[in-house]
Amino acid sequence: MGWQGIIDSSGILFTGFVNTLTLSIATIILGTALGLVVGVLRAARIPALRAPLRIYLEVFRGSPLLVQMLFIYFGAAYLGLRGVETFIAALVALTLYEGALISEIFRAGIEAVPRGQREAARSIGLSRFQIERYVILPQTFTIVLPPLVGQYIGLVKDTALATAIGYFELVREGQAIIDRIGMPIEVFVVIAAIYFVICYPMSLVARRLEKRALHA
Amino acid sequence: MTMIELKNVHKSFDDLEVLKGVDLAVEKGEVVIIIGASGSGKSTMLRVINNLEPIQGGEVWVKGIPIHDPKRADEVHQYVGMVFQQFNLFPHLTALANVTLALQKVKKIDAGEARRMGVAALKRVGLEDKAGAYPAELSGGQQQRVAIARALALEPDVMLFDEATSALDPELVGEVTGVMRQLAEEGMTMLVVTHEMGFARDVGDRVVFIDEGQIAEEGPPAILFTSPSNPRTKQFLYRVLHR
Amino acid sequence: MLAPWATTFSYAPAFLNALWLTTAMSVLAFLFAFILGVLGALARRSHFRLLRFIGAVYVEGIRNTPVLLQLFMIYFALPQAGIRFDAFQAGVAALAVNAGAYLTEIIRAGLQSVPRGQLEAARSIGLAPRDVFRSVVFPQALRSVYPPVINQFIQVILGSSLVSQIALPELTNTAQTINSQTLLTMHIFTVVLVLYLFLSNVTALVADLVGRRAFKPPLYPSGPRRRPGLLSRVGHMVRGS
Ligand SMILES: Nc1ncnc2c1ncn2[C@@H]1O[C@H](COP(=O)(O)OP(=O)(O)O)[C@@H](O)[C@H]1O
Ligand SMILES: [Mg+2]
Repeated sequence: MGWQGIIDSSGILFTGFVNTLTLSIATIILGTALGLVVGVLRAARIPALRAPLRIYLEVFRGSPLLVQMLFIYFGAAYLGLRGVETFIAALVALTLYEGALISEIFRAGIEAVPRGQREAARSIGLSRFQIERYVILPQTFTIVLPPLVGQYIGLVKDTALATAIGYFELVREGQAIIDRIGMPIEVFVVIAAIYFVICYPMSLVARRLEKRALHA
Repeated sequence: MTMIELKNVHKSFDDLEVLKGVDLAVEKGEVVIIIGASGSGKSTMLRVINNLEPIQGGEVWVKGIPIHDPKRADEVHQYVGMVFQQFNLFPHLTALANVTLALQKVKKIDAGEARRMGVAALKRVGLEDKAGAYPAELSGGQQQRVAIARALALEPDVMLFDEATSALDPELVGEVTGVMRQLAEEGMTMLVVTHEMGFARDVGDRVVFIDEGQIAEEGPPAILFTSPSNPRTKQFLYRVLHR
Repeated sequence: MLAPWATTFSYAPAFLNALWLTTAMSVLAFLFAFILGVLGALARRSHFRLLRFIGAVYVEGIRNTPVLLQLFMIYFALPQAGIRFDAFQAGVAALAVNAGAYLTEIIRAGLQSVPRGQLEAARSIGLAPRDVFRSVVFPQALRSVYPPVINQFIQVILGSSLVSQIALPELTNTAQTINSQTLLTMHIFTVVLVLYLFLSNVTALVADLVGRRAFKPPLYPSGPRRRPGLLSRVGHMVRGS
């Protein structure tokens, strides 16, 4: 049998690959949006939002993603939201978790823009919103991009945890193949290779962006 | 016409009182030089005028507008331009875009006209050929001239300079003071914090010496530099001139 | 209303046992990870190309694949090659190998972060190479490495929850088990969430206190007392070293 079994399973592997990618991309979009909003709000130091945002951050960064995901998945059932799909539960958990991490990237990026930039922008008469929109955020993006791409790598890998609630991403499809044909080493190596092919280029991009940011 | 008037201005950072009752009036076309030791409150005074710092007491009037009134404070930016020690150019924008940003976003001037005005402002500081350059591609002196153009493009009535040449290599100081001289000759009202005593003597109509948050002495440069009456002024000038 | 909590707390012994397993596994894994990190950093800075290459393959291979997969490989796949671990050993091994790759990069960056001028100054006052390292490079590298290393330890604690997936009754697995017995999802998961928050925050807090006392000048400069630990860690990343 040998590798033939794996080649025969390539359809299953591809499904897992597509599912991993779908979950990753959906999380990147929603997590970045959430992270941007929370990061900007935290940087703005709005007194009423300080405590709630801080609690959100502390809870989601100080506990394991897996626990959050199980909590949301089983919790939805407990609250009577029957049949919440594994995809939705995984996406909600990942968005909340990655959003927390990403918000800190944005906040730090905003705060890394020198104070003088804000003052110069004020003294030529820009409004509060215009200062953020035309002066601070464009500079934030160049500062934020390398760690953001780095976070996306972590995010893609984190989607593997959705296997624990039964979402058929790569790792779970791998286990399904192993259940049928055995050969765990070969199957897991193939899956590791697929992750590597997704993540390593992102690592290279992150590193290049970081170098460029340092030279700018 | 009085362009700027400070009346008994008090400014504190927490427990630290930095301006302890400052009175100052600047007439149209006047060039007022502000000197004083590091930490005496020079920058704070300019920043108060430009509504970058709130005050705890007193009044600040710019062209008859009460800047101490939070509701009207932001109007100051229509009349006053400021140049910073660290340039504070926007690094993600070209020289021209730095100059046109407020023309388009604040004054709502359309792109073509803003561009024309921006190029004209760059021309005034001798940098029309650097319109497309990013700040990082310019020397310190060029960056500071772009910063001056950025303020000038908005056609301010008053220009504030906070140690505009202090961050520059000595050989680059001249190109910036040159632009400032030219502005003074054109009749711009200017408040200039500087350690360039030659510039102060040549260009200043009046020199103000600030000591520990108060105006200790003021007068025409010819008198204040040669025969200061306050011993603190003497001491300060002695230290600066005999470096 | 109180009955569910009473039921939940009747499982206290199981939770405490699980807490102990999680802690023991994390501490053990972190110790091994630190050794791996030092070795990895040495390999990556070695004069031998082969060692540098091995170091790079280790770091990139681990950092670009999921921990869960690494754990499954060790627990499910290695037996195929005749290498057998029980769940606890597999958990420690996977967490150690994973964190070791990150620590390799942290330690390498820490050594690199000492400015060249420091080396030149040290040499120019006549220090021997080993003294240059011992008295100048190492103390400075230690300062810059301390916060990310602590952060990595917290990541190991949180990551240890994955070992639940190979049926080790640590915190997360225990929660799942009790949940399936009682169906008191909200109560049970709130308890484990709080227990994890407790572990990560106590770690951050202790690390902060140690950082303030053990380093001179203090590691976290005074001023408004701000807890570093969890919340400052990405800021650290963004501003770079
Ligand atoms: N944002 C601030 N917060 C606290 N203290 C400040 C701040 N800005 C200035 N100061 C203090 O106010 C005093 C005057 O500062 P400044 O006006 O910058 O002096 P100068 O420009 O004359 O050197 C100094 O003691 C300085 O430390
Ligand atoms: Mg100053």
